[in-house]
Amino acid sequence: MTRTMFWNGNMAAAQATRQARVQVIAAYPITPQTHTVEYLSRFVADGELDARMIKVESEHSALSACCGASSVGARTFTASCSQGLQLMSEVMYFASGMRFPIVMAIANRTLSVPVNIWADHQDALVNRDSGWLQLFAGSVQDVYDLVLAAYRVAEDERVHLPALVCYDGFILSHASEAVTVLSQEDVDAFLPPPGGTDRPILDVERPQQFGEVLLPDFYPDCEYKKHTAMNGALDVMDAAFDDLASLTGRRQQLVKAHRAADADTVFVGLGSMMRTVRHTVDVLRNDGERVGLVEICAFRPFPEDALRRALGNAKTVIVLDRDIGYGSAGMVYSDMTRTLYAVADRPRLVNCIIGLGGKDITPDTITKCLRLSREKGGKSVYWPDARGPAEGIPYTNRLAIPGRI
Amino acid sequence: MSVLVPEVRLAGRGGQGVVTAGELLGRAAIGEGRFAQAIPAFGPERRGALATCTVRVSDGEILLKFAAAAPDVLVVLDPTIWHVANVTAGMAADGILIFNSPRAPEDVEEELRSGRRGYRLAATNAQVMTVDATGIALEVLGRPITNTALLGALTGAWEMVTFEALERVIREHFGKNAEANVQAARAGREQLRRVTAIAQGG
Repeated sequence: MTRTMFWNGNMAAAQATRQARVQVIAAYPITPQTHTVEYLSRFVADGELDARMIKVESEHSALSACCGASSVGARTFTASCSQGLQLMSEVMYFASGMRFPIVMAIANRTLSVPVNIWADHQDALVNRDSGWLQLFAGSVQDVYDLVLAAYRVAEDERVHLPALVCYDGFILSHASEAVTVLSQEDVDAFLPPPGGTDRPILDVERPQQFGEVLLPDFYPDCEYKKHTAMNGALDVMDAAFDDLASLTGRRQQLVKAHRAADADTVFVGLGSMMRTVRHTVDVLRNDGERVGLVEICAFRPFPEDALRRALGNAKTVIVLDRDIGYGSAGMVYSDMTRTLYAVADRPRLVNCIIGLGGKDITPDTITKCLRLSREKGGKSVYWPDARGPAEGIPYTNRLAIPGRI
Repeated sequence: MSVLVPEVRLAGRGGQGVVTAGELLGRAAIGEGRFAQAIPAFGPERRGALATCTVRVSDGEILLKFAAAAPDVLVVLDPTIWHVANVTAGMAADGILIFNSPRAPEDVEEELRSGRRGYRLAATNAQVMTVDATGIALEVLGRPITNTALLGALTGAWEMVTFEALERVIREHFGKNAEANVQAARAGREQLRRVTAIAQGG
């Protein structure tokens, strides 16, 4: 049984977490925290969720508390973003190394300075190698679905890794959309309530040692195992999406293709901007342009096979990155070039860096990317949003804005 | 590029119920089987600063995920906000502007187009309408919270959401203040004034 609610992304994350029957939530309640933990603390206070809410003194402590709770087998949740996620970063490697299936909701926001609180994917993507699964939502409905799926996949004995559920700050976190919600019985059927676990956990009756020193002789074996578990999560995720679809009637996908099979040019990227791309693709198709798109839902593990299949016979792939790997290129672009390098007749790849720091990504942004991709003798990386001296924004070797200091 | 999704922009100041108004409008629309999306625009700000909310309502799934809009309808909750922010920016040339004011719509339009006290209204064929939402709110609610009066007025000017659907969500949302807010919405709908002197029904 389902019902339809009008929720923002933070509420969708909180409600899915409540229905997942999490046992421990730890959070630092100051900027850049989201409403998600505020909603959850209300559920706990109102008796709608039987969980321990731990208010800590920093994001580093929030994730550390989740690690402690997870080490005794508890289902745990936390939320953060932006600079808060960076303060957690050190503990993120500990969590994945210990194979704790913690789920964290991220309302993706950029990293300061310049001070900016708005959406881009920089905060999650700079943690791409921390050993956490990373799932990206394109709508508020996706936020709800992916939080439930994340617990199921993270806790699977073939995976046992923590997961980030990422949704664009403000554009999804604060925006309300219709969300079709499962009954508690259905959620319980999809995600068995916490209790028994096959994971090794701290238990006074059966003392074991965790997180010990591993000498060089064995260290690579352990890393290889973690990497293999991460890659194997793709199949586990696909199966989880099947089971969830049998309850919701909606099938989540590792990659979501739209009119890509017969397209000459395909846009690829993460997050809510890909829905705006979908709208734009439909308009461009009406004008006779053979364009399509592939929205990546699973960024870690990176779904290489699914992407190669979805791209069809595209001659040009435009990778939209709402992030920048300074001195290199967009981080999705780097993975895409690797994914397509060995393909016979590989398409040309163009990278567009757009939407940084909350810059709106509109249909006009997308058509500009298409135009740039057709420039003769073109570059590989474009910045369609950015202005330089030609547009009246002088470069300066001082940080001060000219004329103000 | 044309973007054919009906859009409303609500503009006012933090604390005036702009975000709540967007939520109510979206809920009313989905209650009638439509798709809706409400995107509030925030800065690192506080009560009294500019607050806007973009609401899209459509018969199909809404794929546009950004706040900037070309609104078909602009609802201005605060009569002085246009002095400090260009709230009419991007508005459709023939859009509807519902302005919180006790003055005649002709007067308000003349002032908005002159730009004498703030940002000039550029939309060439905009239909300016007024409603004394502050007056209604003070009389009915005892507080200058103008959102429900203006939402009621909106249902009189825009066909995407009916008054019945709005009334339903107001009753769900406001608890013990529901009746007064329904009354404010009804008064807003009835007292909406248009430039042309055509008599308006119910």
